[in-house]
Amino acid sequence: MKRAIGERIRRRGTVALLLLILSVTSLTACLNDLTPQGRWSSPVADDNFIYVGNVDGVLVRIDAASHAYDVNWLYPFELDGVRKKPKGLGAIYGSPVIQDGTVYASGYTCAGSDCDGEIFGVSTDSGAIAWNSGGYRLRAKLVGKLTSTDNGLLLQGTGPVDRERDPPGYLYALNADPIAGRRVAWRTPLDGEVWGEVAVDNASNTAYVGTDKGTLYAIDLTDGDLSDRVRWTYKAEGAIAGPVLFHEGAIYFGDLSGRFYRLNPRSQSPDWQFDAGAWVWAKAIPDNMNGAIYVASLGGHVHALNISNGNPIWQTIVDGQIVGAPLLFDRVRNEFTQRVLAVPSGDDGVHVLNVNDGQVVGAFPTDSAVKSAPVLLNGFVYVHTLDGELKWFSPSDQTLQGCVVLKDGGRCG
Amino acid sequence: MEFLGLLWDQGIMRPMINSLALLYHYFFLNYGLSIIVFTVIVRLLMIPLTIRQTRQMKKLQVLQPRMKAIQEKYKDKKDPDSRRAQSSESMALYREAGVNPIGCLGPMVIQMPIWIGFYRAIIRTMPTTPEGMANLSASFYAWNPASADVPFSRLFLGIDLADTVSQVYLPLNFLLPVLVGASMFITTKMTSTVAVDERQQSQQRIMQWMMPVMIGVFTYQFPAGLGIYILLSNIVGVVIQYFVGGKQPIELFGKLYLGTAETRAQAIAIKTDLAEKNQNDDLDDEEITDDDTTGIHRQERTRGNRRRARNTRRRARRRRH
Repeated sequence: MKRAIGERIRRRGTVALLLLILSVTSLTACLNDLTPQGRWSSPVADDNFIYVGNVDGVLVRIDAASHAYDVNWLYPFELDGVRKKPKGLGAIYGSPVIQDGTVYASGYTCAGSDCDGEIFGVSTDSGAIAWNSGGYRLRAKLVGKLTSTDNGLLLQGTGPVDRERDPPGYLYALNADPIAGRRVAWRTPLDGEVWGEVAVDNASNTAYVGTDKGTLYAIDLTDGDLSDRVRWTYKAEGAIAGPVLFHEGAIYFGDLSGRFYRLNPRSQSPDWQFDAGAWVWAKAIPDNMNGAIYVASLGGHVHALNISNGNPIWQTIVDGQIVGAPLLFDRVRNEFTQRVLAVPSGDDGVHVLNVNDGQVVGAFPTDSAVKSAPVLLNGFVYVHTLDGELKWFSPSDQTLQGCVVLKDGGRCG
Repeated sequence: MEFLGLLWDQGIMRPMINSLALLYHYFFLNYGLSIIVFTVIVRLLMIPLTIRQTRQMKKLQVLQPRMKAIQEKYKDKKDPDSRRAQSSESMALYREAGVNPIGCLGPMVIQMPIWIGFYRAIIRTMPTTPEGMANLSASFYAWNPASADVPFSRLFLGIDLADTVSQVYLPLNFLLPVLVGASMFITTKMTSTVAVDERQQSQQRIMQWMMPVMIGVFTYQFPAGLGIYILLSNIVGVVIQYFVGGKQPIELFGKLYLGTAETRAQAIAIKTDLAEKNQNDDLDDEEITDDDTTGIHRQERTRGNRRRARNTRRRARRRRH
């Protein structure tokens, strides 16, 4: 009898164990794959501070000179007495934008398919929140970087706001002027979600935005209520996930079919296109001095293309995915200047390539994958790593100069 | 551990993700269709295992009386030597009959990683976050043309396949878990052997009810795509099992469904024999203190069962002639 009971318990235990394994796996999958993690936000700087979105979706800043973490300046927060306690948005992917003394950014989080996002601005001097009433909340994914225009607009592509009734995406234009009464100047529906940065041609008052349905939109930025803002569209082969670049009268973008396009806005067709062999997500970097444009793919390839005809100049492969935009800068070593490209990758490093031949000539040892774009500020190359740290390096010899944990300003390691 | 992770990723996840994506590419860019085709392919690939499982089940069934005899022999002997002897006698019996006592668990054991892998594959092929999207790119084989189709359309019959079943519209959000549970119940019913004693019967009852109920409850929180996969997999499994297993009837709540006249007769005969044996055993075990009426009722019931089985057999023979 006892044996029978024991056996029964054992069998039940086996079933329970299997179910437990199933549930734990499911839960882990949920946590890792369904929650936006952020940490792709690149830092920006004004004269005094460096601003960046941290691992919890909080915009924080450090002093540009001393690299001290400013605990009194952050957003979003809740007040704990007089102390500002961070209350993150979940994830910030886009780098902040500074305009007229206010730093703007956006972030979001999702629980299943229910998303909560916010576009916000914070005064760089006082830490006061723009638009008086706080950030502009949207029940949508806000992945791409905000783009500011010459006529005081902030552009942000989104996912659907109301999944049942709305189109799959929008381009929002917000009035950047904190005093302006109406925050949303206008919004225009799109055929898909926008995950990349919007490009602006201020001369023709046009914004270019790509969707995950592979449509590139040319949007009219003229003030006022227009019934239709879409000037023209171009259908790419694959989804456009990365940023669009407008440079010297041409539009550049890559898609998930692995193609990279240079589009002529006048003819609304490609001047040329190039097969990069893998998804193109990172923003392309034009180099006028060499007459080239550098295109990186998620397969780890970096291509230098002739900017006028798209012919390949050289190609290099680095380990890991390239999501963040490379950084083009002049490296000075022993009074010798070399033009190099710092390529952030998913394999614990930012690789430094010689732009003349694509040879790897060094690396910034980040010790963690990098999905954000490295930036050169105040004589240092700053890198926001995927483990939530901001590291700064000497651009000449790539040595680590300092590091701060962006979550709380603590010391790294 | 790292090796296991690599094995899981390269051996299960990547092939699964690429197969699903490829089916999506060739089946009208419809993820629901790709799930259906994938399910059918997986179940067809598992037919050899199903056949093996069915054979094992039948052999186990034949062995049951002899197994019971061994159990009886060692019923009152609880010392380690006797247990060892019982175990080796049982194993010898299994060896002699060419049966692996846990062999019939094969398809079930193989299904579990497929489910878990499929669950992950659905989430990974329909990413909702930028990092999910970037990770998906790393999962594609270079030759897979479907990588250019990303992001995959998530809608099938108005259901967002990546959403949890709880988020699906009414009444499907409740209906799907119920259907999954019911189909699982039938599958378990079909694949379980006939119990020879009370203890085994009660274990089977637990298995037959607990698994479907739990999987049904879990389904509510699964992605809808996985719910559809499990439901379809069970339905296809039932069809395959029915034909591979020689069109055995399915007994639900005391009644027999489907099957041929012959297999129904066999099922009734087996049931009757077992009932008779169990009854005899019970009578042997019990002291005759007895409540005669219960005994008479039992005998009548047994006689009735035997008569019914005889009649069914006769009818089947007549039909054959």
